[in-house]
Amino acid sequence: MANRASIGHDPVSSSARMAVLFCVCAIRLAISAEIPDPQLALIFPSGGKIGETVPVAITGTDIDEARLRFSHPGLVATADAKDPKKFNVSIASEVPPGRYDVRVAGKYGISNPRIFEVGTAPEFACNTKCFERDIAQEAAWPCVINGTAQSQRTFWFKIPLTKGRKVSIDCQASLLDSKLFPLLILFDSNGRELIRARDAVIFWEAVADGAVFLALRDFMANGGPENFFRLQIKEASNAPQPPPESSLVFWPSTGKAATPETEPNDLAHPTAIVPPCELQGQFFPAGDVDSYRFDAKKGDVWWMEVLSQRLGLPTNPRLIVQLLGKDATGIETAADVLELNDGPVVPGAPDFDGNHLDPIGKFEAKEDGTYRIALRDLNNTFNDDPRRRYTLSIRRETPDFALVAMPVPPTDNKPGLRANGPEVVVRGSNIRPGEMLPIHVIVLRRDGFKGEVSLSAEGLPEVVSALPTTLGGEAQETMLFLQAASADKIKAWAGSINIVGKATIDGHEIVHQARTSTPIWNVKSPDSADSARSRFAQEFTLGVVTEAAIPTAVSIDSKPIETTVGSKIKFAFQITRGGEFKDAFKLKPYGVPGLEKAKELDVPAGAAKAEYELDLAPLKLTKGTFTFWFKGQDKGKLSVKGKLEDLTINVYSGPVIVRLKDAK
Amino acid sequence: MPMFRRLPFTLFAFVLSSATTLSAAAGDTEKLAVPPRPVSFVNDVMPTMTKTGCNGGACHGKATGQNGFKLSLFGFEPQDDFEHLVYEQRGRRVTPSAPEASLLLTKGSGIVPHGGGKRLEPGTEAYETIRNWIAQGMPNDVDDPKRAVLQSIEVTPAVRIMKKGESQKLVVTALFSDGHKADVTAQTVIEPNTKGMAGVDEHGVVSVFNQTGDVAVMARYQDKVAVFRATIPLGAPVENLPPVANFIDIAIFARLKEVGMPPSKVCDDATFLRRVTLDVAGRLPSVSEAEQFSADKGPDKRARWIDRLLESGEYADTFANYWSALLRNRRGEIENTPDRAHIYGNFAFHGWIRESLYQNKPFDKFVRELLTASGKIVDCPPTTWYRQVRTNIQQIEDTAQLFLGVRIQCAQCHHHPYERWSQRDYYSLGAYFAQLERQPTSRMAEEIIFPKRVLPVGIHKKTGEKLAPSAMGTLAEPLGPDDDARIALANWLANKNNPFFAKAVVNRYWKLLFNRGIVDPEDDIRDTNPPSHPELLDALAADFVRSGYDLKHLVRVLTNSTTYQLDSAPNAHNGDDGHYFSRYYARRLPAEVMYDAMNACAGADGNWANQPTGTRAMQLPDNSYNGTSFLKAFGRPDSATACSCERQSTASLEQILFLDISSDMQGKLTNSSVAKAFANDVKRTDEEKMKELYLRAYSRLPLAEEIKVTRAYLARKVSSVPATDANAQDAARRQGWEDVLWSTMSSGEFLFNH
Repeated sequence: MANRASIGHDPVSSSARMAVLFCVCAIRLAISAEIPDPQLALIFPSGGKIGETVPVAITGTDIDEARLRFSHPGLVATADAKDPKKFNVSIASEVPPGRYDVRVAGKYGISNPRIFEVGTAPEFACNTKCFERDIAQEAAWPCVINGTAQSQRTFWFKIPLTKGRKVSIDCQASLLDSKLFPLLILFDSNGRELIRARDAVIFWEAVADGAVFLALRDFMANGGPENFFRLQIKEASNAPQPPPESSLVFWPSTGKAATPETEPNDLAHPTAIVPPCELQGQFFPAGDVDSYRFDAKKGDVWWMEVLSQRLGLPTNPRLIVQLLGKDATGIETAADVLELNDGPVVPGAPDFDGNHLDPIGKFEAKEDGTYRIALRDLNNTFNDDPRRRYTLSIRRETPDFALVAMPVPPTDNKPGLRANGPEVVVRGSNIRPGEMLPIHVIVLRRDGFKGEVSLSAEGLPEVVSALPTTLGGEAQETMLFLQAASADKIKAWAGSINIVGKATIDGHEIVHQARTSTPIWNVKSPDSADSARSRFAQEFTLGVVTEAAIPTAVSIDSKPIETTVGSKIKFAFQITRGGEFKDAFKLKPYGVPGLEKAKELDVPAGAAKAEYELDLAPLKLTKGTFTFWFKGQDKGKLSVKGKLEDLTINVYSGPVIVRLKDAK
Repeated sequence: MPMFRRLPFTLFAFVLSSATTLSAAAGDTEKLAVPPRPVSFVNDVMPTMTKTGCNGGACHGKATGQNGFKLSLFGFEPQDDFEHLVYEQRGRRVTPSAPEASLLLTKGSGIVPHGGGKRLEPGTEAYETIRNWIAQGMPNDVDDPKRAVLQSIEVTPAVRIMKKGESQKLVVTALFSDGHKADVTAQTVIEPNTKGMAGVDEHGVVSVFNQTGDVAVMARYQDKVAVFRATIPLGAPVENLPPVANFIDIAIFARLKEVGMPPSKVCDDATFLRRVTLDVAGRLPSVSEAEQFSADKGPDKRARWIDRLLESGEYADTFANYWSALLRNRRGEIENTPDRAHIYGNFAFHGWIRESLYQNKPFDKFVRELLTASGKIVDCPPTTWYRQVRTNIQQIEDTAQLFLGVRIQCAQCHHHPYERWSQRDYYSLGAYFAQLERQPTSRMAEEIIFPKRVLPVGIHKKTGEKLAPSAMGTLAEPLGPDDDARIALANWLANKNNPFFAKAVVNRYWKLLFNRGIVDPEDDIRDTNPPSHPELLDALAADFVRSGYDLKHLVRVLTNSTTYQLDSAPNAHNGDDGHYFSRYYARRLPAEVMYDAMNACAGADGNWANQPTGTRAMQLPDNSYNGTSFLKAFGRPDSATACSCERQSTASLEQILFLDISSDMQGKLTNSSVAKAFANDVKRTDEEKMKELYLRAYSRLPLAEEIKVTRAYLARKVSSVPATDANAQDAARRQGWEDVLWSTMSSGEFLFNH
């Protein structure tokens, strides 16, 4: 199928206009809620002991003919012969302790991930009758107790202790995708409260032999299946907990060994440093301000980055750079040259929460001199808390990038790049016959990197191809489109794929694989008390579904267009429709800021062709590369699960790369 | 503009003052000639207009003025007043060529009809002062650098013990910046705080009436206030005082001796047990606790019981309930955030308060953590306070009222009429919060609190002046943009010499336990509302500071005093006492305590949304539970202000109806596990059951007469149905016990802490 894309009136674009290669860009898919799209709500228990086989049950929607797919090959599920929602998960002895993704793959595709944790401690089920201290469940430890909170009820556990032993009591919930917000209260045998923890680990050292009693409930007394937990009781370790590096996109290392701070390093006594360097310190005690000084020549450039809040710490660092000098009376002066607070604003919320409070920024010396860094934690007003640590990286400009990819939900309520709108829907990525499937990709640019990034997908099945997409130097996000073969050629498939980006940096080709971000729970409305939460998944999965072929296709020429800044571009489409989708519909361009106000293209009923002229002047785009696509909503009837349903589906064209150059 | 020399007037005034003081002893009120001297607009005219009531809140001093003529309240803005008097309406109010014809005088003296009546008598000093000022060409010395500026005023005498019906002439002496003193009695507003106890005439003669007690008389000249305090003793013999337990008793008993008011006796063990358990743990003692306490013969058992209560989680629940309301831990009223989005924050904030109290965090640290709270609620729950206390105005006023015991609200718009606080004081205090900034996060209703990197300055509402941080008249602090000014404020509060901080909290806790503050209302400490026992308040504050701001220590000191343990029943002399703590002032149980007490007595559990089963009303974290008719009817505060006056302790028809005929009360009775158990228990006698019930409700055993009446009632109830009908007999027995339970829980002895 071919389509026609024409380029605007600029004569320079004539060559492009001639090169009208059409690509069948089809389709769309999309969906209203009635089109099956698997969601895995729960797996319980959400973990097991290494070397054992664990019976688990799942719940979810559109999970017909379900198989469980883990992100580690040592985790294998066998379906229960009688109940299609029950499985026996065998955990091979070589699987390292940790948390793994599990998804459901079935008739309608592959689902969102859930967490399945494996460990070495014996596992037990929570006794759902132990609601009083007098009948507390015995918890011989080390152990893991799997349970589900009940509304307005408190579970009690009896934990034997001997004098001097240190126990760690950790009710894992949010890290396992649970909605539970655990409140733990530890009592002695006389009923005296010893310590309580709100979504935190209790470390307790016994001062005498005898049992202690643990009360566990949701902080807001909520209950129900979504409020599950794994209560882990084990010997407390003095070893420092490793930072949650998995939550970081970039690790701001200079490649040099970090130097611990040496007190005093306050404003009056700044520690002398020689960049590039990496420094480690603590915001300790309360009100602590750490200070460093370095010499710089005019024109010296250093990138400064603090890593603290991203480690999951309750910090809010602020970094000030001042040029030191002396006034006429010889008194030292310090003139502000740079103030850094938060990291850069990153798109993608709520599917990806990449915003943080750690300062990142560029220092450029305007004159020779000695400069002083003052680093403080704005939250460190009263608590002498040794946990408040930081790493300060001062490095040469090292441009780089990272990618984050997210499935686009099958429905959306809000136009634009953030296709999920106010409603959050957990999902996987599933493609149907003939469908054009978008994948939302965000690029995070380090040290002012402004190069182009070419996106593609690897590991695709033969029946699916990725349409090349380029992120221009200013772009922070785009859609990467996958296109499926037609219904007669397609085969069902479920597996992991890689979204990769390539860029040339300092003459070298740099390739990075995208990480995958996923929302954790559906959020139905913007004023819901449930806040949207997201996390990284361990892989990006794709399901190829043979069901519910999409009848509407919008084809557009995908050959890159070259034209000048401020010109007009014409896009031509070929429209293919089938089944019960016959009414007029509209298409709208996307891909760069400012298109929110662009006019819509009316596609009349029965039309096989359409054209759209886009005036670039109002968009104020400068020289560079941009990726455009079109999206619309088509209404009709479609057979869903054997029944003809009224549906509204999203329709996407593929991408068109437009390269703008300055007019002569 | 002419300059004024005050010396001649000063000398004259000094002589006059001496003469007046001497003659005042005889209550003389001789008329005084007005000296021919330059009149000061600020020091003479404005005080005169205040004295005559022209610029009062009910007349021209109200915000909108009166009939087109506006003056600043009590003359606190003299420049504005000068403009209004001299220039407004084309200067029609003053006629220098014919001063007596000035509208200001003809209206004021009633020659021309005046809605405010006759305020000036021609020939008096007040009239002549204004007339002379007009005659001299209305000189304006507001901004005159050579004008003597008022520094302070003093009332003589400051305190006196007076007999009923006796009079005392007061003399008010002003100290000016040039060092001179002047008798300004004639220009000073002098009025009693309690008008039913004393009166003051226009010459400053105070006459006390026939009531026993203390009465404070406020003197206000320009923006300064001073107080005379008269004590009218009862004069009864005070002998055989109860034993002194600590310094509280020394101070209280000394005052009782001074006023001749014998204290009540020390209460019995059962009364003490119930009283202190209700006050400190917010609950009734259990039956076993009452029995054990009764059986304990140790001489220190009361102190031991207090210690035990202070170590309990219920102590933390009780005082967290108090602080949570004052710190506005409430749902709603935040733009774009639904109430339910506040659940987490409110619970976390309440949890932080409770944990702080349970761990006995020093109070200065508690306040520091609150005022300097930064970050997100999930990491720093006291930031919830800033979620509710959002504006600079709220931050100023709540901080002053909560932690300084000062109601500074008036000074937002004008000088405080009963205090020394000016608008400068107000906005200088606000400067400590000027850096506060909020940053929303991706989560509903979540924001990050942090200090902006700006100079902390308060903006004077009237002048626009930028004011450096300064707390209640202290020197301005040289803080820079990198200083979090809130930390400086916390440091000032925690300074051992802070004159407000410790006093404010010990007075609060005194009020909680003694049902009247040493300064009352407890959050209205000001010169013109003097403490009943100033030395005791100082001693308590000093002891609190010495203890390291230890709140448990404070409660321990208060409750271990004999004064706290006095009987609430009056003796022949102290029935009217509401001032000297000669007896325990009984009070109706707070709503939450009463609710829990009824549940404990009847054998029932509370059931609250988002709370585990069995949660007591005292443990509820925020105001969202006030929809419950009981808590609302009995005055649980809505946490909407920082004022403890939100808690309603007065009686109402709604309360009576609730106790008498409400379905809630009926439900408690019909679902009472205690009534059911009593009815079904065939092993114990009614007398034994009554003993349990009385221990549950009153922590004491029933009297023989009470047993007799109750048994008779139960017997009559059962006998009212056929003896052959076992079901009817069972029902009657059950209903009988429900009735007994109802009468018990409706009794004054139950409903009051006494």
